[in-house]
Amino acid sequence: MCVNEDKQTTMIIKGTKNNRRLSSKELEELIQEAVKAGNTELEIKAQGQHGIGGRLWQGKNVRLKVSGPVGQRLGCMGTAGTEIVVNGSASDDVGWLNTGATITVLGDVTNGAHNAGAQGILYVQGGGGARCDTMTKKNPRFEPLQSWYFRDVGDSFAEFKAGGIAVVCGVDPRHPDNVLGYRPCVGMVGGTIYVRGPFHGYNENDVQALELDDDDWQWLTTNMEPYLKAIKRTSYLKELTKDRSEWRKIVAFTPAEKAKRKKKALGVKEFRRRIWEREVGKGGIFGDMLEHKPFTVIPYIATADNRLQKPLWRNRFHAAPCSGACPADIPSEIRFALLRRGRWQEASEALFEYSPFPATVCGSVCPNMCMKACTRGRLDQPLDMKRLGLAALNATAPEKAPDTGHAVAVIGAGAAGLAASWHLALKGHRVDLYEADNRLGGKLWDQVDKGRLERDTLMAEILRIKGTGINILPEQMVTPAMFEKILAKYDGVIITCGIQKKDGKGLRFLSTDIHVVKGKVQVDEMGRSTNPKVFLAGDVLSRGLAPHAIGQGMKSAKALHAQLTGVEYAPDKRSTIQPIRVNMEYYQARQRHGGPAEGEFSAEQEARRCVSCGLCRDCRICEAACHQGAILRRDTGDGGFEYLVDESLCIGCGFCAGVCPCGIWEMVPA
Amino acid sequence: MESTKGINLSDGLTLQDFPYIIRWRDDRCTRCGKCTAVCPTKAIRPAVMAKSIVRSEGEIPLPTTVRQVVHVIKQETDIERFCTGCGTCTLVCPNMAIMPEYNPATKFLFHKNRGGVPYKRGGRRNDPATSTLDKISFTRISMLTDPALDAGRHEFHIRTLMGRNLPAEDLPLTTENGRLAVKPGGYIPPVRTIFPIRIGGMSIGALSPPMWEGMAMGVTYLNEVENIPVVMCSGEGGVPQRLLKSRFVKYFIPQIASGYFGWDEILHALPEMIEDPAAIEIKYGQGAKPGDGGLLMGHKVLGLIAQIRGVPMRVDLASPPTHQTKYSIEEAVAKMLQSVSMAWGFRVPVYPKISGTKTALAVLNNLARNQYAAGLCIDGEDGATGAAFNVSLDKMGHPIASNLRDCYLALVRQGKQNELPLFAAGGVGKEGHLAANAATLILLGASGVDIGKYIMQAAAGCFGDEKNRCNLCNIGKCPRGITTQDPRLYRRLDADKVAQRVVDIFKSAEIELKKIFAPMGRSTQLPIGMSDGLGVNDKAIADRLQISYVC
Repeated sequence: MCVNEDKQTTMIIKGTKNNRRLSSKELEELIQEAVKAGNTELEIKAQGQHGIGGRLWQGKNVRLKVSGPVGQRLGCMGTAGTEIVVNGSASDDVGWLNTGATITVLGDVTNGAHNAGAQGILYVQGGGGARCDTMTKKNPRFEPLQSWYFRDVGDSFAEFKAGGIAVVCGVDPRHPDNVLGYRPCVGMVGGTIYVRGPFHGYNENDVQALELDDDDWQWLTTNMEPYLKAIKRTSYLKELTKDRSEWRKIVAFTPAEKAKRKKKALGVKEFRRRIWEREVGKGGIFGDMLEHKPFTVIPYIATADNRLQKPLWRNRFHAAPCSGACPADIPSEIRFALLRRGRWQEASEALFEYSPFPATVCGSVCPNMCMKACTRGRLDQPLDMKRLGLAALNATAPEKAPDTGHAVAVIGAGAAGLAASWHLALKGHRVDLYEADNRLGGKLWDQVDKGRLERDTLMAEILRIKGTGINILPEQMVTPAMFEKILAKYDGVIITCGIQKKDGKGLRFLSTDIHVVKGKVQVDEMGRSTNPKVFLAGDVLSRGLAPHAIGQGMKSAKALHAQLTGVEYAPDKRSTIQPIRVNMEYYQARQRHGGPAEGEFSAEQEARRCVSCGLCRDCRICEAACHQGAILRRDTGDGGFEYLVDESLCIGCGFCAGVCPCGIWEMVPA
Repeated sequence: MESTKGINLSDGLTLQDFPYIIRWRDDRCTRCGKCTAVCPTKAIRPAVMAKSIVRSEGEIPLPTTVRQVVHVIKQETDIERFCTGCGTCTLVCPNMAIMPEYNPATKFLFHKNRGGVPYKRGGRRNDPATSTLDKISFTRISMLTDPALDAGRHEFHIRTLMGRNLPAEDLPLTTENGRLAVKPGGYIPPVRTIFPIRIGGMSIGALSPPMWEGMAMGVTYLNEVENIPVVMCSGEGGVPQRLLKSRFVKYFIPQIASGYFGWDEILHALPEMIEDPAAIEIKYGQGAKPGDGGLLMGHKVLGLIAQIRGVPMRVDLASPPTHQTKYSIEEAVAKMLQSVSMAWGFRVPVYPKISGTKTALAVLNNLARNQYAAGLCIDGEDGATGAAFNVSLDKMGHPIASNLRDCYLALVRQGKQNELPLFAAGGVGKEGHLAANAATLILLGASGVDIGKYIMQAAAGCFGDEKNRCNLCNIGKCPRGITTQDPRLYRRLDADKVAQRVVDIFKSAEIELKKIFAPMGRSTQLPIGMSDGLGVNDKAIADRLQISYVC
C-alpha cells in the first residue's frame, strides 16, 4: 500500500490497477485505509466507482480531489470535515444522505443531488438534474444543509424537502423560462430555496414564493462569496449580489397557514348563490315549482303544520260501548259521570230523556246488551245496570216543558206507545193515547212472566208516565174511519199497536198515503211513514225486545217533536269507541275480597267503577303528561270545560292519546 | 292479566316475530315524546302500564301491595305497524333511551302478506354477505418492477371515455387540402371524457327535490370548481326545465325508459337548450328488480312530480317491464338508439342500460354491430330501487362481476374492448369500499361504474342496509327526506349539505383510485381490463373471472 507518513503531501489513489478497474469495494477499502493511516490529502483518479469520499468517520479534515469518471453517490453519507472537490461533472445522487461533507463539483450534477441530505454543503459549478434536493432534512443540532446550483435544476426539484437551504443562481440556464424545472416543491414542508430567474408550476398547495428580507439577503450575499470562490466563478459576485429583487425565496407553508388556506375552498352555499342559482334561476332547479321557500330546512321535531300528526280532543265523539249497544241509546256513561259528581237529579234526567222504564226495562226485562259491551267487564265484572235500573224506581219524573199547543195521538199503549207518549208529554205536547184494551202496558203485562218483572214495579213506572198528564183513551179500536178523523184532528200520530199479521191486516185502518210493501210499512230510520205526520214504532214495525220498543218510541217521539217545533233531531249514530283505546291500566280489578260484598249495591260505588269510555273525566292526565306543555284546559263558562292544544308547542307525539284513560284524544294526520 | 282479559291473542304476533325489537330504557326516558312523534310506521306509541309490587319489610311475612300506573313507550305487534329499525327514534332521543335492535330470529316474511298482498318495499337485496367485488383485492403492486407511481405526488388522469371510440383505422377520415375531413356519409360517434364513477339513474319522484338538487349541485360543483368531470343520470322522471335550459345540462344524462315520463317536457325544452347533455341512457332494466319495471307509488306523485312527469296527481305510475313498441332485440336497439340520437343530431352518446342477466351477451353482441350504440350499462342484482316486490329484490337478478367480465371478454374476442365502453352498476360500494369496488370492476373490464344507494347513504345518511333496515322508500315516508315528496319530511334534508357530501365523496374517491392505480404504474390511462392486477382468495371466483387465485 502506498502510505505516505508526510501529511502535507498528497496521496494518489487510482481506480485502476494493472489495467483492471478496481471494484467500488476495493477502492472504498483503499480510501478508508489511507484515512485510517492518517492521510488527509487524497487524490482519487476514479474509474466510475460508487460512493467515493463518503463515510470518513475516522479522519479529520480530509480533503479529496477527485477526477476521472465519477460514479454514483459521490460523497454519500459524507461526514463533517470531509472536503471533496470533483474536477468535472459528477453522476447521480451526489451527497446522498450527506451528514456534513463539503462537496464541490466543478461541472454539473445529474439526478438526485443531495437527496436525503441533512448537513454539509454542495457547491455545483453547473446545473442540477432531476429530483435534486429532495427529501432533505432539518436537524437543530447542526448547521443547515446548503446546496448551491450555478445554472438551473431539473424536474421535481425539492420534493418533500424538510430542511436545508438550496440556492439556484440561474446563470445561463438550460431552460431560461423555468429555472426550477417541472413541478418543483411537491410535498415540501421545510427549508428554504433562494432562486434567481423565472420559475413556475411549483406546488402552490405546499409552498409560497416570497421576496427576500434583510436576513435572507445578508445570508445570501455573505455565503455567495465562498461559493463562487469554490467553483471559481468569483467574477459573478457583483452580478449575483447587485439586486435583491432578482431573487425570490420559496418556503413551505406552516401547518397553521395550510389550515387557514383550506378554508378558502368555495363553500357550497356560496357556490349555490354565485354559480348555481345564477345559471338555473333563483331558488334552484325546482324554485319555480315548490310551494315552500326553496333551500329551507325544518327540524325532525316540528310543530304546527309541520307535525306529521296532531291530537284532537274528541269528547263524546264516539259512543261508549254501553250506549252504543243500547237500542234506546241510553247514555249510561253520562249518567255515571253525573253520579260521580253527586248530581243525582241530573243523572235521572239524563236517563228519563231516553227511557221512562229504568226499573221495568233496564232493571227487569232487558237482556242488558250494555253489560255485555261494558269495557269494565274486560277487567273484572261489567257495571251492574240491572240494579242501577231498579234503583231508579222511585226517581221522580222531570218537569214538563211548557205547553206547545200541539196535539198528538199515540195509538197503542204498550212499551213503545207509553215511551212515545212520555217523551211527547214531557216536551209539552198534548197527548191522546188510544188503547184497544182497558189496561196500559201491552206485552209487559200479558207476556212477561212475573219472575222477570214485578208487577208493582211496572205499575209504579206506568203511574209515573201517567203523571205527565197523558190523556188515556182506553178500549178504542181504531178503524179506518176513525183513523181518518185522528189524522185530521192531530198534528201528529204515532202508531204503536203491536205485532201485526204478515199481511198487515191489523193495520187496515191505515190511509192510502201510507205506503205498505209486502206487509211492511215504509218508514225511515225514525219510524216516519210516507205520510210525514204519521210515525210507527215498536213491534208494529218488526218484532223486538222491550228496549227496542222504548227506543223506537223515543226516536219517533223526538222526530215528531222536532218536526212540530222546527228543531233538528237525528238519532245517535256515533260509532262506538274501540275498547282498546280506553286505558284500563288505571283501574284496579275488584278483588274477590275487596269492593262491595255480594248482594250490596251502591250507585255511587258503581259510578266509580265506570271507566268513562269516550267521555272525558276531566282528570288532567293529558295535561300532566304533555312534555311540551301544549295542552290547556279551559272552562267554557257554562259549567263545562274543554281541552285545547297550542299548535305552536305541540309536536304530535301522541302522549295525550296514548295515556288518556278514556280514549278521548285521537291522533289524526296533520 | 288485567287489561288483556277478553282480548283474543290466538292470531297475535310476539315481538320476537318482528325484524327489529325496540330497546327502550325506562330509567333514561323523560317521556318527551320525540321518538313517537317521528316514528315513520307508528311502530311505537305512548302507553300506560300498571305495576303491582308486593313488599314485606317487617320481621315476619307482612305483605303490602303497591300499585303503580306509569307511562311507557310500547312497541306495536301489528304487522302493518312493524318497526323497520330505521332508528329515527334513536336520532331524536335526547337521552339515548331508545334504539331498535335487529332480531335475527324474525318471522317477518311469514306474516307480511296480509290481504294476499306480497311485501313491497324499497332498498336493496337483503343479503349482508360480502359481495364478490369485496372479496377481490389488488395483488399487483409494483415497487421495483414497473415504474412505481406516487398517488400523492404524481399527476393522474382518472378519466374514462363515454361513447363509441372508433379505432384509428375505422375512422371515416380523409384529407382535403392537407386537412382532416370526414368522408361523405361518414360518422364519428360522439365521445365524452368523464370521471369513471357516475351517479346512476335515480328519478325526480323516487327522490325528493332537495336530494336530487343536492346531487345535481354537487355534480356541477365537481365539474365547475374541482375540474372532476362527474356525470349524473336523471333516472326516469324527467329533468327540470331550469336545468335543461342551463349550461350545466352537459353534466347530466337524461334517461328514457318504458314509462317515458317527462319526455314531452324535455323535447319542448330542446330547441332552447344551449348545451347538449352528456349522454342519453335508455333504460331497459334495473338490477334491483329485473323484469319488474319501474313503479312510483301514488303517495309520492304530488304536485311537483306530477308536473315534471306530465301525469295526474296521486296515481301509481308504472313503467312497464318492457317498452311496448319493441318486439325484438334488433328492433328495440335500432329503433331507440336511432330516434334518440336523432333528437340531438347524433351529437350525444346514446346507450342502453339493462339489468344483469345471462342474456346480457346477446344484447352486447347486438350493440357491437350498431354504430349508434355508445356503450352498454349493466346493472347487477345488488342495485337498489325506490319500490319493488320483496321477491324481485331478494331473489331476482345477476351479480355484476361475472356478468360484466363475460361481456368484456366477449368484446376482447371481437377486438372491440376499447371501442364499446361497458358501465357496471349494482352493489358498487356495498360495504363502503367505493373506489375499490369501482377499480375492481374497471380492472375486470368496465370503463366506469354507476352508484346509487352508496350516494344516498354517504351523501344523505340513508338508513337502509342489507338487513332490511328502514326501506320505506316506496311509501313516501323516508325519515331522512331522501325518497319522499312530503315537504314535512324532505325539508329535513339540506340540499347544500347533500351537495357538499357529493363533492367530498368524489374527491376522496379520486384520491383512493389514485392510491389503487399508482402501484400498478397507471396514471394517465385507466387500467380497463387489467385483470392481472386482481387476485381473489376463492378458486371458483378466480376461475370464473379468469383472475389470479391468491392465498
